[in-house]
Amino acid sequence: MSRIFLMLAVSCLLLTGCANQQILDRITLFIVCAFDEAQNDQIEITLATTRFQTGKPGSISNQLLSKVGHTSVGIIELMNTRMDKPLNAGKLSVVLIGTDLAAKGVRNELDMVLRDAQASRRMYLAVVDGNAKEVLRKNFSSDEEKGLYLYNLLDMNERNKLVPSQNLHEFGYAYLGKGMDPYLPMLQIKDDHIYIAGLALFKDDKYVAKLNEKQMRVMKLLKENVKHGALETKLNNGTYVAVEVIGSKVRFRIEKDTEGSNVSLNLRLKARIVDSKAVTLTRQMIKKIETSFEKDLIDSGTELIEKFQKEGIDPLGLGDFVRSKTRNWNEEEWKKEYSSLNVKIKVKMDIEETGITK
Amino acid sequence: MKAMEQARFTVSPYLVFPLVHSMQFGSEYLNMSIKPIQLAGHDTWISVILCGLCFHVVIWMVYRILNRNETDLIQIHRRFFGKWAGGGLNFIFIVYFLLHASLLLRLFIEIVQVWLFPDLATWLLASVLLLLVYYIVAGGFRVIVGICLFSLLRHLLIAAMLFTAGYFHFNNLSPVMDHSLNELLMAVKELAFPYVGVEILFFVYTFIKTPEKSEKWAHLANFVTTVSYLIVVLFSLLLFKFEQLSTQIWPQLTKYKFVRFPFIDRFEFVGASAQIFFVIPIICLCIWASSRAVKIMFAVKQRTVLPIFLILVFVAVSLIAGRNHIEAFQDLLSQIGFYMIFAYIPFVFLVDMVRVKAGRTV
Repeated sequence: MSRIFLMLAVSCLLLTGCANQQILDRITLFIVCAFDEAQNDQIEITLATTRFQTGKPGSISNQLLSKVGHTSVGIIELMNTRMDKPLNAGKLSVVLIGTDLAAKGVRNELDMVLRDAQASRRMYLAVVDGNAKEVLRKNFSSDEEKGLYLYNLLDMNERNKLVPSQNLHEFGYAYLGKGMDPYLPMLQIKDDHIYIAGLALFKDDKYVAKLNEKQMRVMKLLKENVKHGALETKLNNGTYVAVEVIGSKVRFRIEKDTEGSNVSLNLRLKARIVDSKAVTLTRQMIKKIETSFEKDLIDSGTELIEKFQKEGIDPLGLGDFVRSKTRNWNEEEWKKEYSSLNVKIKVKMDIEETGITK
Repeated sequence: MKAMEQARFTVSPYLVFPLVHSMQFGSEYLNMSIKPIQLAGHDTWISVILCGLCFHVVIWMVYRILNRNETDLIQIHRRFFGKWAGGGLNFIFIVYFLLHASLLLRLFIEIVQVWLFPDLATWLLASVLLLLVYYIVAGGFRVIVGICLFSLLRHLLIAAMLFTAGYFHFNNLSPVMDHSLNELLMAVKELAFPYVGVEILFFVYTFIKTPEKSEKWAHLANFVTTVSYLIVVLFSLLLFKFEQLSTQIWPQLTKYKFVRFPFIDRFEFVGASAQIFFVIPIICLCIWASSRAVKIMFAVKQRTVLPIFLILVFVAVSLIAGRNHIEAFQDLLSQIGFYMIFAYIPFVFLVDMVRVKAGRTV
């Protein structure tokens, strides 16, 4: 018995090479991939892959692959016919979506990346103003891989600046969850420079409206607690003052009065002045600056919410908040209520420091 | 017949903790939250606690039965129901344990196939793992307990959950108790399968030194299991929207997709492979318990039964193909497990009580 066992155990050692191996040098990784709409309900996928040159560490060349087809797997198969090393999606970190496709709905593309066992949940998604393929064609990063450049661009801005954070997981969360709608950063390209131009707002999985860069900052403050980012305001006398946000907290509340319930958003900001255009910062002046910021934020916030209500979208997740406070919440009823919902914004700003000068 | 094993085969009472805990905490936990959330929604975590409490009661019953009779279930069956009916019940338990081992093995192989190597043949991995099981079970009961103890390492994986903490939405849990008690109890029924495993106490009882002292360790094992499941379910509810969770097959493995280290980008490879810690102890205990039952019933050597059972499991595992079959198989087993725990054990408990009362009057 033990002899048979030993034989079998030894034969197991011979099995180690049986599984399909994926060695880094023998596959092609891509970090960015772009989806565009094509004719006859097809999609066009563009990949920017990297080629490492042997013998020259650090030197890379970008290669662009583009194909049209019905499903992503079919397209990747077609692309593989042009590759010497098979493509592998394991490192995919940025997905760009063209405006046309986004307006038609990204349900299918979302399903594809969520189903893939290799796709990261932290992958960044972004909508491109125009054709997503065109972005990858442009030479916006001189010495870096395009995918890595785009990843760092989105990562840095969503972590430390006033771009509302959104990745694959959060997009799916807002899309599938009731009482909220997803949004994505909007990329624009101009003369070989790529930048985040604002936010693309979605209704279910369809792109419906756009926020500019200023509205996007306000949206971030109303959506989540932030620790970084700059804001500026115009004082009554015409000068501009800029502050750096060092901490903000937003609380949603339901307030009930005679007309029924309404939602209030309470925003508390802590900031320090970074650029005061040589205004002498007396105590009254700081008070004035604070009120000016508060008024600005309330005005633009209210404008933003009116825009959302007009479009019938809820990127702030007010519906989800009301659900968590009401028993037997009903989505249909909420949708009817939402357009006429009374939303109040209250802002309290504290300027704590003024830099190293008075 | 002597009730207890020789001292050199027995283990200390505290080792009941790893034994019961690893028998309960199997791979089923990966998708345990899917079905109950359809019934109890965001209140499922209450059901997890209720289910844990129910199992404390079951453990209490098991110890009352065992302490009174001072032997294992195989003898108790014979004593209570006679040779033929008792033998039939033992046979049902043998089949149940073999099915349980097959399911666990197939679940693990499926995870490897979906998450790591799509082109891996089922029989190949099954044969390699069953060789490992043979090696462990042939080593005897104390070696199996050692493997159970070693498998407690899996709790280190909980640290990986910290990466998801940034995405928690605490308002997913409110309003608390938005579901009726009936819905919560239905969810308890769906949750019971991952807790199943306390029945192993019936078989290991004679192998414990001073078994009366081991009861607190069994309760502790169930408590730790409940807390672990609470963490699993609570984190799932905080991280995913209800609708999102319904679309996942292994939400627990999806959580590893949030982990990102500079040196390892796809942590779910580690997470999926680590499931072997959840699987091997259960398979070993199941095969050991079933072969031991045969040994006592037919007075054959355990080592001659062992290869036959391993081949049976191997055939069963190779026959289950694809998600649908596995799911149907798991549903069947969870039904059997549920009735075994909540109907059969109380039944034996009552029979035992009646026998004691009757014995006193006579």
